[in-house]
Amino acid sequence: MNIKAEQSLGLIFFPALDWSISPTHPEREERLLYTKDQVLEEGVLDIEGIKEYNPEVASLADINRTHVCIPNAEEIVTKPHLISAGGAIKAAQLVMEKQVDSAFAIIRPPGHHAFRVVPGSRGFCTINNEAIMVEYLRQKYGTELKIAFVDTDAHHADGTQDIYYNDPNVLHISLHQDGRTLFPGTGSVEELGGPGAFGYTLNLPLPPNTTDQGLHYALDNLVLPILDDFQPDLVINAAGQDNHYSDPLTRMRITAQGYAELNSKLNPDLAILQGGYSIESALPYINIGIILAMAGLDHLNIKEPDYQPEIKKQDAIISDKIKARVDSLRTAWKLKEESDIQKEFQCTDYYTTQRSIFYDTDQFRENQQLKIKVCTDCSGLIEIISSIRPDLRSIGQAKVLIIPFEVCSSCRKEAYQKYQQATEDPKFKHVYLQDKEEDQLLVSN
Amino acid sequence: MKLGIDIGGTNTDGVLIKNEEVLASTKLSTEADSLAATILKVCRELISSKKTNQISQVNLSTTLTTNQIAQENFPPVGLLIIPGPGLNPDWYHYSPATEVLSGSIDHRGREVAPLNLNEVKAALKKFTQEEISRVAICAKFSPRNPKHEIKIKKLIKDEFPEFDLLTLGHQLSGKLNFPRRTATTYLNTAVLETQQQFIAAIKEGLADLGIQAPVQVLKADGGTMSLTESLQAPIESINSGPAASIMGVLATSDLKGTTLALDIGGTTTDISLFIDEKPLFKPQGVEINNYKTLVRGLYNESLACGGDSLVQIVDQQLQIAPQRRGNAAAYGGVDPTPTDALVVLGLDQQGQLAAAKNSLEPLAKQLGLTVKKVALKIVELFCTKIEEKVTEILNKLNNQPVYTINELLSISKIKPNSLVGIGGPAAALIPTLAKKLKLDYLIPNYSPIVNAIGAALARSTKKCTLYADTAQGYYQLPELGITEKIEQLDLATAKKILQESLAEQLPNSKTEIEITSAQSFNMVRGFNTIGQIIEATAQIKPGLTNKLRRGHL
Ligand SMILES: [Zn+2]
Ligand SMILES: [Zn+2]
Repeated sequence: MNIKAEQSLGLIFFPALDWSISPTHPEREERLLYTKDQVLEEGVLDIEGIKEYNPEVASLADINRTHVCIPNAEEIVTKPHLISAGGAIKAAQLVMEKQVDSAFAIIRPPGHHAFRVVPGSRGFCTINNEAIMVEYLRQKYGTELKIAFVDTDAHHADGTQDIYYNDPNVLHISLHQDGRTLFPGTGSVEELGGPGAFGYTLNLPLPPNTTDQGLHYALDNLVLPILDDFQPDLVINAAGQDNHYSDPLTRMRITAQGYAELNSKLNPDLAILQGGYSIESALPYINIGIILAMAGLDHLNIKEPDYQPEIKKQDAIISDKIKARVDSLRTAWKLKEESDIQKEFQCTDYYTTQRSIFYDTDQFRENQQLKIKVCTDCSGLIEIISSIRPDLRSIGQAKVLIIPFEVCSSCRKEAYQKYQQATEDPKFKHVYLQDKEEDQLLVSN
Repeated sequence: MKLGIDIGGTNTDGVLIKNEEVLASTKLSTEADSLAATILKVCRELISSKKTNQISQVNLSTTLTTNQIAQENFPPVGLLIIPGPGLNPDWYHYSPATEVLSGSIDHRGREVAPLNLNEVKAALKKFTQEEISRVAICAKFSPRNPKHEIKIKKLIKDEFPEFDLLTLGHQLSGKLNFPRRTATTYLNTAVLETQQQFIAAIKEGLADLGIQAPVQVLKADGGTMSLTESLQAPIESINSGPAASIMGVLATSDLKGTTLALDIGGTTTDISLFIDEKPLFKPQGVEINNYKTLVRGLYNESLACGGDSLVQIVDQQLQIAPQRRGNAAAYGGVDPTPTDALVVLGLDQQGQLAAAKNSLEPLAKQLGLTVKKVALKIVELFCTKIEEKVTEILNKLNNQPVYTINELLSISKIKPNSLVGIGGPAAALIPTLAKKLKLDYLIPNYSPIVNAIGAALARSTKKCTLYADTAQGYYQLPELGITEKIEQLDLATAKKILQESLAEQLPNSKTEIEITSAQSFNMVRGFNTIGQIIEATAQIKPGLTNKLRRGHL
C-alpha cells in the first residue's frame, strides 16, 4: 500500500544513541531507543511525503548569534549540543526552502531552559536549539519574520522566554505545569514580557493533573485565537512530552492522542522535541502521534499500551482554574497595546530588575542584574551583569550588552559607548556586545 | 565444473566454468511460459560433450518470482495481521482477503493484549469458505516476540490442515518495519506454489540429464540459497537478475576503491556501486511493483535510457527515451537510437553505417546540423542523463540517516574513482562517459554473458539479527527461530552467539561472518541499571567462490 501524507513532513530524527549527560541521567543513550523502534516498526519513514534528514552541525557563529556563553562558546558547548541545534536549523531550512510543508526535529538534548546568557547547563539544556534556529532564520530570511512559539513541555520554557522577553516580533506562549509545583518555578500569568514587547510573552500554568481536556480548552480558547490575531509567519511547537500521564518527573495527565490532536489543530510549521522522560510508555506513542498529525494522516489508532479512556476525565476545580487563567490572559493580550509601559514597569528611562537563576546540572547560582532601556523608537538596549556563585572556575563578573533587531540609532550608539566603558572597567572580567543587526559578537576579556 | 544460468526477460544465458576459465557459453530466447524448459535446454547445450558427473554446482538466477509479482498473478492468499495500536491497519490490506486480529506486542516484545483464538478460527473459516488455502501471518513487533504468529501456526497445524502453505513474518526478516514485513509475508505466500512447481520441474529435468550436483538459487543480495530455502522464502529471489550482473562484474573485473558500474542495455541502464570490491546494499529492502519489502538486495537503480531507446525532437530539443521502437537502425531497426549515434561516430564499428546515418538524417535537418554533429549531441545527452542520475544516487546514498553522533561525524562520502561498464553499447560509450565523469574505466572481457558468470560463481549468503533484553531475561534470533533464556549478556558474547549461530547455518562455508552492527544499551529505571538491551546483526556477505582469469578490452 502506498500511503501518502496530506502535508509533506521533514523529519530530523536523531536519537543520538551513543550520548548521555551521565550514565543514569534521564538524558542518556536509552532515551529515544524505544521511540526509534516504534518509528521503524510502524514504517512511517516509508510513507510518501514523510522524508528523513540528518541534522546539520551548527557552528559556533550560530551559537554566538543567539547566546552569550561565559566565558566563551568553545568552553560551554560540545558536539552533541551543536548537532542538536543543527537539527533544529536543518528543520527550519527545509521549511523555508519549501522542500517540505512542515518539519519535526526529534533531537536531544533539549534547549528550552537555556537562557540568553549561558554560564553552564540547567534543566538538561545547555543551548537553546529553537532560539538558535529562529535567530538563524531571521538572519538568513529577514529580520521582520514574525514567529510564534507554543511551548507545550510540562516545564516552563524559562530559557526561550528569557531570550524573547523583550522582542515584539516573537510571541512566546508557554503551557506548563504550575511553577509552584515544578522546576523551574517560573511562568506565572503575570510574566507578560519586557517594556519593549509587553504582552508578547504569555504563560498559562496548568494545575497538576490537567488532562487532554484542559490542554485542549487552552488551545481552543487561548492559543489558537491569539495566533489568529498575531498572524505569525511561522508557528513553532516546542514539543515537550513530559506532560504525559506516565512521565516520572511531572504530574500531568496528557495522552498520546492529546498530543497528536494538539499538533493537528495547531498545525505548526516546525516542532522541536523538548523534554519527556517516560521513555518506554509515552515517547514512542507521542512521537508517532505527532508525526502522523503533522503529516495530516489518521492518528486515531495511536494508543499507549495501558491507555484507559478515564484518563481524559478532569476535575471540575482544575477546569475552573484553567478557565480563569485563560480569561485573564485573553484580556492581557487584548489590552497590551493600551497599557502605559512606564506605569506598568514603574520606571521612566530604564527598567531594572535582579534575578537569580539556578544551574542544577552544574550546581551553581547565577545572579543577573538586568536593565532594559524604555525606548519609544525600538524595543530597547538590554544590559546584563552576570556572576555565578560558587565561582569554581574563577569566571568573575561579566557584562553583556544586547543590540536588538530594528534598533534605533541612539540605542545603538549607547550600546557601543557602554561596551567601551565596560572594557575599561576592572570590575568586569568579560565584556560582550551582541549586535543582532550586524550579526556579530564583540568580546573583551 | 560450475553451471551458471541467468534467465532474463528476453534471453537466457548460460555458462560452464572450470576453475578460472569459461568452457562454454550459450544464449537462448526465454520461453516465458516455461522457464524450467528453457533452463534445461541451456543445460543440455552447455554439457553436450562434457561428463555430467564433473558438474559440482548449478546456480540459477530466475525471473520467476519477479515476473509473477510484476504481473500480480497471485493465487488467493489469506492475510492475517495483528497490528495492535498504531497506524491505521486498513493501510496494510495487501490481500483482498485480509483479516485484522486483536492482540498486541510492544516494542520490547511484551504481550500487551492476547490473541483471541476464536477470532483466528473465524478468520480461517472465512478463508476456507472463500476456497483459500494459503495463509500469510504477520504481527507488529513479531521479531521481538513471535508468540502470536507461532500460536496461529500451531492452531492451523492442529485444526486447519487444509491450509498447506503459510509464511510467518518474523522468519523472513529480523528488521523492524511492520508494513514491509506484512508485504513481504504476503508476497512470499503468494509465490510459494509457483516456486514449488518450478523446483520440481528443475529437479526432474536435471535428473533426466544425469546432473546430480546441488542446485542453488540466486537472491537479490547477490548470494545463493539452497532449493530447500527457496521453497521457504522464494521472495528472496526477486531482482536476482541485476544481482547476477553485479556479481558478474565482480568476477570479471579488477575493482579498486569505489567503483561505479553501469549495465547498459537496450532500454535501460542499471547503475550499481562497489566499495573496495564489495557490492553496496540497498539501504532499505527491495521495492518491487510498488510493494516495499524487507528483502535485502544489492544496490541497483535503473535509468529508462539504453542503447535502443528512441531519439526524437521534442520542442526543438533532442530527447532520448523513454520509448523504444525495436532495434537501432544500424542493427535492422527503423528509428534513430543512441547506438546509431555511436555507429555514425565510428565508436561502434559493427553496425551498418549507412542505415545509422539515414536514421539521423531527419533529426539533422530539423536541427540544422550535420549528421555527425547530431550524433555527438546524442552521445553527449546520453552521458548527461547518466551523469545526472549518478549525481542523484550519490546524493541520496551520502545522506542516509544515521542515529549516532559517532556515525554522523564520521560519515565517509561515497565518491567513485572508477567506472566499469557492461552491456551492448558499453565498449563504445564508456570511454566518453568516463571522460565526462573524470573516472578511470574498464570494460570486462566477458561482458555479454557476465550475468551468467555472476550466477555461476556466487556463493551462499545469510543474515541474522540478535535482540537481547536481559531485564526480561532472554535473547533471540528471529530469522533462525532461536529464543534463549539469559540473565546477563555482554556485547562481546552477543556477537559470538550471533556468529556461531550463523556459522551453524552454513556448515560448509569457510566465509568469514561479519558483524554489521552491534550496540548495547543500559536500561536504567530510577537510579538503577536493571539490564541491557543489545541489538546486533551479522551476515555472511555476498562474494565469489573464485574469480575468473583477467583480461580487459
Ligand atoms: Zn520538561
Ligand atoms: Zn532605541
